[in-house]
Amino acid sequence: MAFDPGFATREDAQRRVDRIRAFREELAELERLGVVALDGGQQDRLRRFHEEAVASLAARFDVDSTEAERRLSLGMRVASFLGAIALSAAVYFFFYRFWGSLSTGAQVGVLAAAPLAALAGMELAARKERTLYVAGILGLVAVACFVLDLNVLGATFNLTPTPGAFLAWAAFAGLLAYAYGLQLLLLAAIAGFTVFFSSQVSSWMHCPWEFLGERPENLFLPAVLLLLMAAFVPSRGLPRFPPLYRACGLIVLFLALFVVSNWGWASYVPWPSGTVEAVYQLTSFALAGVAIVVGSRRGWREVETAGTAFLALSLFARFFDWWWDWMPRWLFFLVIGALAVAILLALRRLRSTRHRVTA
Amino acid sequence: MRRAGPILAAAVVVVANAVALVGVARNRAGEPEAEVFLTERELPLALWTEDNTGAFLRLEWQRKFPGSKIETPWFDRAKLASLGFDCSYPAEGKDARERYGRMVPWRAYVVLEYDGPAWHRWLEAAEAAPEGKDAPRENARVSASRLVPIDVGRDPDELRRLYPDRSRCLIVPAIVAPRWTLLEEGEGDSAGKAVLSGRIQYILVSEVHVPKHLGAPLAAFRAADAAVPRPAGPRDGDRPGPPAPQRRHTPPRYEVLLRYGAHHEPWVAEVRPLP
Repeated sequence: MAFDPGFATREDAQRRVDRIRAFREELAELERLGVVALDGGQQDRLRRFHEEAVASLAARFDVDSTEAERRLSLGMRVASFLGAIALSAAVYFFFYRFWGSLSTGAQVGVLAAAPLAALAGMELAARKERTLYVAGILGLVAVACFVLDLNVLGATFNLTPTPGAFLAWAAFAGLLAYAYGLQLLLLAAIAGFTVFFSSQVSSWMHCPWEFLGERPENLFLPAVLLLLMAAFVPSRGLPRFPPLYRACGLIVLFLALFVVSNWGWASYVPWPSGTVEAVYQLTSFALAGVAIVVGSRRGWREVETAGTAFLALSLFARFFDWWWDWMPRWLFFLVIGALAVAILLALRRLRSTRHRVTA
Repeated sequence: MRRAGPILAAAVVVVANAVALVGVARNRAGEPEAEVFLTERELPLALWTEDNTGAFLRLEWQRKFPGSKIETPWFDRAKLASLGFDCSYPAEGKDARERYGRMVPWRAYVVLEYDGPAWHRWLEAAEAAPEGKDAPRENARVSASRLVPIDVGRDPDELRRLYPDRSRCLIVPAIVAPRWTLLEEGEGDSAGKAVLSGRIQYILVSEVHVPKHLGAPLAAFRAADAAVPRPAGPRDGDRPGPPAPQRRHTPPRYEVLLRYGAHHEPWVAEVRPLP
């Protein structure tokens, strides 16, 4: 029987290889225990099928077929990330080191050509290498070149800074992320997208966009949009993208909530700081709880983790506010420890409930 | 998406660059909105490092009126209210400090007058002010910037109508905010009184790039500055390098023809060494 993978992404292929490896290990264990016993013909057919499947997937998607390969791949991912950062820094400093000796026309030409050249290199690398390590590096370099391009263009012509640049960077990184299935580029796109939409909220509130960081509520809209994008932006063949949207959306939301629930003066709401903080603290607890429950029910690990971490952080911040000044240190940390145990028990209960429902 | 993505990404690069360049062309098309010769006093060399060979001039203007705790006395409560800030709460009120401190800054246009009556008033006040940390440098007549803010508004066209001299008054986008101040001793009869005023936080384009074909005279001055031993400051250590321009207390060495366009964005049109 010929092996037909029936899917098109490396993630799917890697999952299939992992399943085959797990199946073979489990089968060997079952045979050792005498639970099942395949005859020689069955064993040969199964072995040949699996070997053919793994070889086919390795040839087409360059998947990791052993644990050792998987560890090496992780190292390669780290190395490619660090390489991308270093190369981007090199491009940045190289340009600044020499741009004074270029005429304005040459500067404009070099600036616009740099991201396009990196993009062409990325496409070439992607055609030659299925793992996309080099393409990923060149993709980040292309984004860095485009950031440099618009920044230096603004400085050269003394332009008033505009948030539109963040939208352009986000669009560029996002298009490349979807074209090549690269999460790091999607992260860059999400960052640009977040700044752009925060700046829009800031402008609606008559606050200059350069000050968007001073009003954490500016982040609420991009956070909600990111959560909606997880649900509505088509990610067929890119199974890691929706969790990334959800994780980033929640991190942005919780970060904004944390700041404004501790420093109420940073809010747009014209109430006394104490009232603003109290309202946002309650909102924080409620949303953390919702994230834990929804994450648990839907099997969204990143949502559950973000909710749990934020709940713990918020509780710690509140206890610090209420008790740190008057409570003995040992008692304070004892209460924190007891609380951690209580959260653990609650989560265990939730987990066992879910386990029963699934069973 | 796999095939279209890179093409669309390339299109984003092209369109973004085109939009920026069209904006530049529109800003510089036609008659300049303002055109003024400034000197090194108003446009000193911006700080530079060996890692950045671009030449920039820093727009220097008088941020504080000498001898007054209020930075710009004309930027009072009424002016703030005219910009649209809600100034209805009394400055002496219990929550005034928090209320006005929490207000978000706004974008507005500031009129900077060059070497005009406002500068002469500033100079008189500087020379009359007692010695102290708030007093300006004693060589203000020689090296201080003669650009003084004289008005602020939301509508640049209205400001230009009020200040029609395009060779003396620059209209520049800036960030402004309310400022609540408690006057202390030395403020006369109003000592201990709370005052609400406006504050120009910063000018949006405060560094102006000098293109290569105009930068030759500045390169010589930069080289001369770099040869001067750098005084050790708290952040400088003994590291060699160019002196901070604001530490210069000598007559200006060059003048610059600075133009502002339709978008109130500047560009350097000419650089001339001064005798």
